[in-house]
Amino acid sequence: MLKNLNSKHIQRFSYKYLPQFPISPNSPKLGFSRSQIANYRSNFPTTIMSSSKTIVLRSSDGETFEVDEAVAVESQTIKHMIEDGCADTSIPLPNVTSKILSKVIEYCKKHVETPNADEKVAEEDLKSFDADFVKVDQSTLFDLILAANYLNIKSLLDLTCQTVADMIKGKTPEEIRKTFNIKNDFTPEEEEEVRRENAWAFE
Amino acid sequence: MHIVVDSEAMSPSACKNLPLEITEAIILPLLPPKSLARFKSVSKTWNSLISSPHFIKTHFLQTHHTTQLIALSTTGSLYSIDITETLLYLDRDDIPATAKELRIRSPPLRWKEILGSCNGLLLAKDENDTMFVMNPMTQDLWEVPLCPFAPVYEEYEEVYVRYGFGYDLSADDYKIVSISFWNPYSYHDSKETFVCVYSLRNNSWRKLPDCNYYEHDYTVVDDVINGAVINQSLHWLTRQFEIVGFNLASEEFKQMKFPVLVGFYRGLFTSMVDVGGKLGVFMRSEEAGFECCVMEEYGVAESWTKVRIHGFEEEDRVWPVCLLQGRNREIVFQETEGGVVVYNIDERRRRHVRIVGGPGGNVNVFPGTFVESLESPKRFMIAS
Repeated sequence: MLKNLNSKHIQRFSYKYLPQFPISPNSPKLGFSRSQIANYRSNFPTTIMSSSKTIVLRSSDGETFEVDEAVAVESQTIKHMIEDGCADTSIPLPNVTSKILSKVIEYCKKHVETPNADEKVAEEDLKSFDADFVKVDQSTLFDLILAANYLNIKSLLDLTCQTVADMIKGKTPEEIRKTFNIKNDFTPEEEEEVRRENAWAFE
Repeated sequence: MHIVVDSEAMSPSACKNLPLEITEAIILPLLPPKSLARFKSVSKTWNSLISSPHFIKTHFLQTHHTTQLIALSTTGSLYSIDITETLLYLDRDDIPATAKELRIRSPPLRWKEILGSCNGLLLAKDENDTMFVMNPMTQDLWEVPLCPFAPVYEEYEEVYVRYGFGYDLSADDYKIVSISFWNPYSYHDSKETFVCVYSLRNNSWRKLPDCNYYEHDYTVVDDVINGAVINQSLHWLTRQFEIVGFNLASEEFKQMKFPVLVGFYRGLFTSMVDVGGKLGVFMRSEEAGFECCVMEEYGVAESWTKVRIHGFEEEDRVWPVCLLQGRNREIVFQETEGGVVVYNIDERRRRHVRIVGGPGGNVNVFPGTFVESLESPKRFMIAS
């Protein structure tokens, strides 16, 4: 987009057009309000943006979320969209509801904010956040997995899948069928045979 | 990893069902073998998936977040010991670890020695000196035939045999390497060393032609240690202060000299184990005390680092077992009396491990770790 600038544009800009609020690359402020964005944009073309760029994400039910680019690119899918230049106005995410998207954004924000995950305190803080984050009902958990997969956020996918694994590892086969809505296509004799072969696992 | 999923399954309203691709590719590999074996009876699809060699491999090749040891009691019973939880007991001097007996029911076997542990399979000798490759969790047993090319057992211990057991990824095969040599003080007066390789897939032994390195005097492998597997190779120490590596795929030997920088101590190598995927040699000498040398980069002589181990008296005979999973500064040692100890390099402190649920007496811990898996020695036999 920078290549659309010509000398006319450059002459027009002077210090008085600089934004009124401080912006720095490491600004902890995440997510500007819509009025701030509108105000800012009316004074400048989007080509001269501050260094903390925001991305607008649109959920399947039409809600929009403004997030810092640094947070948005936790998702490899979004990162590639930005790199390919598809992120001009907003990024539509037709597979993610607003309920789930807001949770995903919360996760990404926390993980981007935590400065040095090697330090013990930060590491424990993050672990405790993750543990609380997955304390949701099964339906939401499954939706988070789908969203993490679609958005390609590896750490979130690992976290949610590990949670499901821990949840199901003690279940009986019948309980598994209920959880995943799987039809039992064994005959009773076949099922008995498989159980017998793996008797050690049923003790 | 990112799984491409059929878009139909992705509609927000179908949130009750996880697509099969995700369940199969990501969730199932995270489960312990016992759960997976139970879930074989969920449906035919799950049964064939969980039993497939590809899935079994994905499962045991993933990163493990637990540290399990394998040990024998004095009566020949096999135990796995889970010491992952040391993190919770950092302030205590005494760490509880849960032991679980792994018993082979039929035939009921008692074990003399564990010779190797790889991907959930163990190579072990029973009380009759018969060698087995087995998965102690699933009870799959495979008897290894005697090697026809080398003397493996003689009265009065005139023959020393060292073993190595490893997995050749390129050929999807498990191999046993045996190195036999006559006791230098025996009446045989022969410097001959026999190197044989057994392939599980082919169920046959082969004798390898002589290599140079064992023509010298004293250049026989250390008479105590069985091979440590690093980087697709088995390793042994020689008395000539060299490390011999046997590449499982190419079946070639390679010698690696101990760099002069690390020091030249007289005949005091104590042992060599896998420390977090790297080769670690533990040495004891009067001049430098107890040290651990690690080859940070495989095959690169300059990459050896050295760390001093404090906290053990000279008389204490300790054998390194492994590194705690995910904790690079904690080494697990076994004491000769049968106790297990976790040593922290930075704190220079050792903490005793209290084994709960074990045999109640002393245990002999295998130098290395154990993983639970669904791997079976028999899967090679079925296809043919």
